[in-house]
Amino acid sequence: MEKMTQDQVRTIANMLRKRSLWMIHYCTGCGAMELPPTMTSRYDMSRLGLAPFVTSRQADILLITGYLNVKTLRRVITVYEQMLDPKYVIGFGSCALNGGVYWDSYAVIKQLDRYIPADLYIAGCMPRPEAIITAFQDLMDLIDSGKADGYKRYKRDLAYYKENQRKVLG
Amino acid sequence: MNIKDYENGSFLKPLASVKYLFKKPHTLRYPKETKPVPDRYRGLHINDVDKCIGCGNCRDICPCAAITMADPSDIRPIEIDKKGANPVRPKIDYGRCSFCALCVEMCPTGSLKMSKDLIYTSPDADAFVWIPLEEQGREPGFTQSDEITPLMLEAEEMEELEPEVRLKSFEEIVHGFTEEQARKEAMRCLGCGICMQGCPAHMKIPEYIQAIFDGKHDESTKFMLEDNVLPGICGRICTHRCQDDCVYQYRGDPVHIMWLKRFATDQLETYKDVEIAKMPSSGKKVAIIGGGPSGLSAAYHLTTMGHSVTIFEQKQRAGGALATGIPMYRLPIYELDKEIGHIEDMGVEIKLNTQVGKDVQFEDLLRDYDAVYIGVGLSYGRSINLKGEEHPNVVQAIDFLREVKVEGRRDITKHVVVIGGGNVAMDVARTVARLQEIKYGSKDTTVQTASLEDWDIMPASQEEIDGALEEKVIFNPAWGPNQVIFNEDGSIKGLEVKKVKHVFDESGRFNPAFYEDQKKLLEGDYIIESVGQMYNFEFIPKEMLDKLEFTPRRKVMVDEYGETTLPGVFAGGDLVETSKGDAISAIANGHRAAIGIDRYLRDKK
Amino acid sequence: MMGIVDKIKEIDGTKVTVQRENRIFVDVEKERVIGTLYSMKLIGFSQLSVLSVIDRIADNQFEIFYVLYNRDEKVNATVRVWIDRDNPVIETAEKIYPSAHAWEREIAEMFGVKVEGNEEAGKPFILENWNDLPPMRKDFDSIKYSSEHFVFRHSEDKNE
Repeated sequence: MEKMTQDQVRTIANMLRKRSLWMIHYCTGCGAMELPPTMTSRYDMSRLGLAPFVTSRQADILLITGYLNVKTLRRVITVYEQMLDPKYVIGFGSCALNGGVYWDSYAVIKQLDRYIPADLYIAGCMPRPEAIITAFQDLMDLIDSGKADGYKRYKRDLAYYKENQRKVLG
Repeated sequence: MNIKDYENGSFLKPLASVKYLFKKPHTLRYPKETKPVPDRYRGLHINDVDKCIGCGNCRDICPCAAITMADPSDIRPIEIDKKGANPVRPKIDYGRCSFCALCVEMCPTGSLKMSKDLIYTSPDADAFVWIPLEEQGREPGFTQSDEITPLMLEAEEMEELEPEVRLKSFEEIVHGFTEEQARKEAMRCLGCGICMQGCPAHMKIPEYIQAIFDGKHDESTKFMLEDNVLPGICGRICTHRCQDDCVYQYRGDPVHIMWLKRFATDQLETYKDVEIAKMPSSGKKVAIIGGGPSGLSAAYHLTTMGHSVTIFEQKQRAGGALATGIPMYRLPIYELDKEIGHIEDMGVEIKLNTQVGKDVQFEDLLRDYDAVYIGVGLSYGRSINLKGEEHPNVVQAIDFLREVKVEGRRDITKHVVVIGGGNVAMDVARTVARLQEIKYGSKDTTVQTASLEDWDIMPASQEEIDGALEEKVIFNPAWGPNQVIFNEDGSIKGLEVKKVKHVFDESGRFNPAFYEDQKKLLEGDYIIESVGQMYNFEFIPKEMLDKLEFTPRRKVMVDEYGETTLPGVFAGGDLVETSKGDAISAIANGHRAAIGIDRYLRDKK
Repeated sequence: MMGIVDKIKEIDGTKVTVQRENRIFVDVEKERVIGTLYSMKLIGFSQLSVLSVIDRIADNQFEIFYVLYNRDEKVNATVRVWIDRDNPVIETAEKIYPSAHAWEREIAEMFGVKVEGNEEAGKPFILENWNDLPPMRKDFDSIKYSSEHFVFRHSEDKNE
C-alpha cells in the first residue's frame, strides 16, 4: 500500500468513479424530452450504472439539456457550484455549442463553456437516446483516462468564468 | 382487474408475473442492440462534392446561419473550373444546425443529403464544424423529392404565335410575359448569381430579377443598363448563356432570365426616367467606327464616363446586325429605336450614312479624336468559292436579310436552298418561309437548308431549329455543298450536295471531309449562302494595317482592355470575339473597351 | 331567449364580428375597455384566457386583446382595443379578472405598455437586467442585441 503512488491511487479512483455516476435531474431546455426514454425501461440507463438524482450536492453529472438563457444560467451556475468535486458537465445538442436554432435570440447565451466548463458535447437537435448513452460511455472513458477535468479547469480559470458570467448576469 | 378479484383469487395468483421471465424484454440494450432508423431520418449531412456546384443556396436558406461556404481543397480536391460552379462547398456548423433539412430540399443539384447517423460526441467544442463529404461513409437518409419540394421546378409557359399564323407576317413570335407571369417567374429565382458567370457582360441578374418581383421595373432596368446598354434587345435575341448556367437546370427548367429582362424593359416606354450616374465632362473626344452593339455599348459607357462620343455608321440606320440582319419577327424595329434613342438621349452623336474611308478618312479620325474604337463587325458575307456562285440568284445571307428588313423586299422564288446550319441560316430560312407564304400562300413552295453539321452539332440554337421545323423548313444535315447545277437556259436547277464524313478532324479543328460518291441534288432556283461573315478593313490605310496584329484565328489582337497594337485604337465586337459571336459578347467587350479607353484617356493626361 | 351575440351587441360602443358560432371578436374604444370587460363578465364570460399585444408597427399602434371564455355557452370572445404605440397606456383589468395581473406584468415587460392601477406592472418579471427596448416590439433588433451581448463561436467566418 505504501508503494502506491498518488497517480496510481487516482487511476483506481477514476476507474471506480466511472462505474457509478449520478446525474442531477435538472432540465434547462427541450433536450430533456429525450431523457425519459433514456432513464426508463426503453433504454434503461441504469444498466450503465447511471441514475437520476434529485439534489445537486450528491450528483456527479450535470446535463445542460439544450438552450440556456440568462435566467436559467444563473440557476445552473448555482447548481454547478453546489455540486461536489469531481463533477462533470455534458452539453446537449447545437444550442450548448453555438446557440443552435436560438442563435439570434436576445435571451439565450450561445456558448456553454464560456460560463461553466463542459467535458463533453453531443451533436443533434436534439440528440437521440442512443447518442446520449454513447455520450455517457464516452464520458466514462474520459473519466477513466483522467481527461474529464472540467471541475479542475473551473477552479484554475475561475477569474475567466466569473468575468464572463458577470458580463451577462450583471 | 379490480380489488375484488384479488380477494376471491388464490394466493398463488401473484405467480402469474413469472411469465414475464420468458417474455422479450422491453429494454433496448443499446449499444449491443440497435433500433432500425427510419428511411427519411434527418441526421448529419452528406454532400457529393463533385456534383455540388457551390451555388450557396443552402447557406442562404439556412434559418440558423449554420452554413458557410468554404474551400474544400485541403480535404478533398475538386474540379475547380467546372462551368457554372463556384469552387466552394458548404461547411456546416453543428453548433447551429437544427436538422430541418431545408438545405437539402433547396439544393438545386441534389448533391446535399442527410444521413441516418445522428450520433456524434466530442469533448472539443470546435470539432463540430466540418465540410460534409460522401467519403465520411454515412448511410443516406433524408433526400429531396421532385414531387414535394419548395422549389418551383417548372417554368412559366410563354405564349407564342401558332406556326400557321406567324408565317403570314413578320409579327413578333413571342408575346412576352404578363405581369402575373413575370412575377411568378421572378419568384422562382433563388438569387444565387451562378448565372452571372455565364453572361459575357456579367449582368446583375439576381438584382434585376428581385426588382421585377418587387414590381420596380425602372430600378430593374437601371441594374440592366449598368452592364448592358441594349437590355430590351437582349431580352429578345440573346443567346442566354445565363440560362444555360441556371441552377434549376439540374432538376427542372431554368428561369427564363431573357424574357424577364424583356418584360421589365417593355414596361417602360423610354428609359428617360431611369436614374443613370453620369460623370462630369472630361473634354475628351472619342470616335467610334460602326454603330453595332459593341460600338453602341462602348459609346454609351464612355458617355457616362464623361467623354464626348461620335459614332460613324455606314448604313442609314444604327444598330449593325441588329438593324439589318435579325428579322422583324425576332426583333421589331421599334425596340431598336427605343434603345438607340436612349443612347442618343445620353448625348452620343450618331452620324448615319457616313462611311469611314470614303466620307471621312481614318487618319483624320486619329488626328481629331483622342481615341478611336473600331466596332465594324463582320458585315460582309463570306463566300465558300462554290462553283457557279457568280450567278445573280446565288446571294449572301447578310445582303438578303438586309434587303428584306430594311429595304422591304418581298419577292422570292418558289424553291429556295439555304446553305448553312447556324442561327443566321435559320433566320434566312424562316424569312424565306414567310415571304413564300405571303406571296404564294405556301402552295407548292419549298425552302430547305444544307449544313455540314449533323443534328447533334448544329450550331443553331434549339429554339431556332424547332421554330424552323414548325414552319416547314426542310433540313439536310450533314450534306455539304458541291456545286450549283444549271438548266440549259442558264437558270439554276439546284444545288448538288455531297455527304459529309466528318466536320472536325481528330485534333478538333474545322476540316470537313466528304464521301465523294454520295451526292444528291437539292432542287431550287434561288440559293442563299449563310456560312459566316467577314470583316473588311479597306478603310484603314495600308501602312497602318500592316502594324495591326491578328490572332491565329484571324481576329484582331487586343489586350485585356480591348486596345489593339495601334496606340489609341481599340477594337471590339465580332472583330475580337472568338466565342459564339453573339450580341451580348459584343456588348460586353464594348463595355470592356470603354473602360480601357477611359483608362487610356486618363493616363494620357 | 336572447343569444349571447345579441347580449354582447347590447353593450355600449362595441363592434361585434362573428367569425364562427363560438368565435366572436369585439372591437371597442380605449375608454370603454374596462366597462366592456365588466359587462362581458356579467353576461357570463367568467374566464380571461389570454391577454396580450400585437405590435401593429405599420399603423404605429398596439392591438391589445383579451380572450374571454364563457363556460356555459362554450363561446370564446376576444375584446380588441387599439392604442397609440408611442404612448401605450391601458387601465388594469385585474379588479375584474384577477388573472390579468400576471398578463399585465408580462405585456408591460415585453412591450413596454404602461398599465395604470397594476402596482407591479413594470417591475422585472421574466427578464433580468434588461436595459434595452422591450424585446417583443417589432423594432427591436434581436440579432444585433444577440451579437452585442453574447459571443458566437467561429464568428470570424460567418457573415453575421
